Amino acid sequence: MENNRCKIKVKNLSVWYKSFQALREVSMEIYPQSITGLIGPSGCGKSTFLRCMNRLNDLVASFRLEGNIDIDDYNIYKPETDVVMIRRKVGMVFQQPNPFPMSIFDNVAFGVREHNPRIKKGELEDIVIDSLKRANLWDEVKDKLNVSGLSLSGGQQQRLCIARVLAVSPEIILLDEPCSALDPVSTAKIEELLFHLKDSYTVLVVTHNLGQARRISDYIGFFLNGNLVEYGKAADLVVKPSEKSTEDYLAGNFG
Amino acid sequence: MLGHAACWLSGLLTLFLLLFIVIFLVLKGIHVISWDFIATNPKPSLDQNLTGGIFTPVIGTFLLVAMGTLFALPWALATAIYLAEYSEGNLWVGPIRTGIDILSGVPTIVFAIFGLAIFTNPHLSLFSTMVEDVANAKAFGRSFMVSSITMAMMVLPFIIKSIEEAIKAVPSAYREAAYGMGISKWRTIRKIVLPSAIPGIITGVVLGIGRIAGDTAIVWLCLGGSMTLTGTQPWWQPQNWLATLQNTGSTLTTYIFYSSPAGEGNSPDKAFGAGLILIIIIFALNSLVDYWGRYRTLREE
Ligand SMILES: Nc1ncnc2c1ncn2[C@@H]1O[C@H](COP(=O)(O)OP(=O)(O)OP(=O)(O)O)[C@@H](O)[C@H]1O
Ligand SMILES: [Mg+2]
Repeated sequence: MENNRCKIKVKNLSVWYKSFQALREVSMEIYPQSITGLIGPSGCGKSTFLRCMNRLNDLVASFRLEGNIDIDDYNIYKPETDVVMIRRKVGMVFQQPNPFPMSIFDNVAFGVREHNPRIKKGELEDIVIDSLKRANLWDEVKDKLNVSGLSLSGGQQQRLCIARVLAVSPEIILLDEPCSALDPVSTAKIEELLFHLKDSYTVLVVTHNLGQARRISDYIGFFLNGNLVEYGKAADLVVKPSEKSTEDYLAGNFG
Repeated sequence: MLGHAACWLSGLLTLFLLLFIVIFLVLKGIHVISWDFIATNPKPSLDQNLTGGIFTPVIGTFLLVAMGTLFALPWALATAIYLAEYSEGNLWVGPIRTGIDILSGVPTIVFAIFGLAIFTNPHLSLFSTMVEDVANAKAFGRSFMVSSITMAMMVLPFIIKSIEEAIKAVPSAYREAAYGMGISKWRTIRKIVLPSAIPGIITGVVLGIGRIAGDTAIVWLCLGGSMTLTGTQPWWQPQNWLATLQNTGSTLTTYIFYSSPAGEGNSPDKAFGAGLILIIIIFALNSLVDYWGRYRTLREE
């Protein structure tokens, strides 16, 4: 697809919840310093796919997986993998903003302190400030860092969740419909910040909003019934999809 | 319509029941309550006017509440964490849960004879004192320590249940967020789940406090029948604390029992006065713990 080396290489990924197959032989190469959008109708397996990248699906008892996911050429489903280490490298932002019930500062500092309990106060403050800036939230919260994260608006909470992830310096950021609970203004702010983030991270965004997928993605993958139907450069896929079902979806015929 | 009225009436009746008890206690007991009543030790006497006050029983109640909770809380917390977070698919969950259910239904008098039986073992005399001058070595088996350990066993199932509920009620979104940042499960529980569960943990503690302060059977059997503290005197000096805990005393419940004509005493007015104080103490402790919990969560939000 491109000469660029790939960051995540998914090969023949199949996933089951009990006997229900949620993903079918999905293969996909995801590139660094880019935004990859995942689209498709509800229940097609987008979240499942995303949660395989940081092994969050391990929490589901009935979950079973076949195939490979290599991050930097390392298969993260190898039995001896340290899941906690993988998750440090692969941050996640959820559909519903879920800041911890603690202050804005502590929300961002929490992960840093956990990973590095002996960090100096000044160093920690620098990281928190830098992360809030990168999440475009600093100006709005700089005077109330000790206020509870729960007191922020939905959009601010979501940016706080992004800051919290940035603070632990991941390489990959997964976002599962990060704007679906937000108003258009908040959505625009997050889109803008994602656009900046892609310079430094590999970003994967699930979205129900086709306009958003078009606006922010460099690559788009279209899922249907657990299959990756089509995957390619956003511009190409949107303008002339090669599959009939992608065309139907883009035309708004189902979803 | 009739059903509605009956239900409403029952609710109202419940309120009246409480008011009736409180008013009755106040009418019967308020005239004995004074600073002297609270601050003097009970004295044995046939004349009600000379039987002194309830100082040592009050101390006893506070001691048992504090120590019983202290023993029960870490144990209950660990068990609740296991049940809520680690027990999935484990073979032992079933038996443990059944055990907790049965434990919560065991009458406290049964805990009491159990505690007494265990702690009269001479090897456990550390928890009470040795009985002297008997052919077979035997520990006395009655002391503040014995009763608070027995109290802890008694309140354990209730505290476990309310803490487990509280842990399970913590939104899974918090857990996912923490796991997603590469925080281990244990650290997530420690730093995210437990702090969010504090109100529920408090509820459990309040429940335990009420049960300990109100229990009579365990005090009766495992603390014995002396009204005053029997450890080395003066009991409030630090070097005597251990002896105080290894020896016996009373609480407000046994004071009421021994003072009322239903028990062995003949000081019904003082029994009512002590009952009133007991209710006030339980209510105050509940409010205090509750307030402290609210304050903590408020500060965090
Ligand atoms: N924990 C689970 N246990 C059982 N089945 C699940 C579980 N999670 C998801 N599924 C099933 O797997 C399929 C894919 O779910 P997934 O959440 O990945 O879809 P999605 O594309 O993210 O949908 P949406 O757009 O609605 O979020 C669905 O049919 C869903 O019912
Ligand atoms: Mg989803």
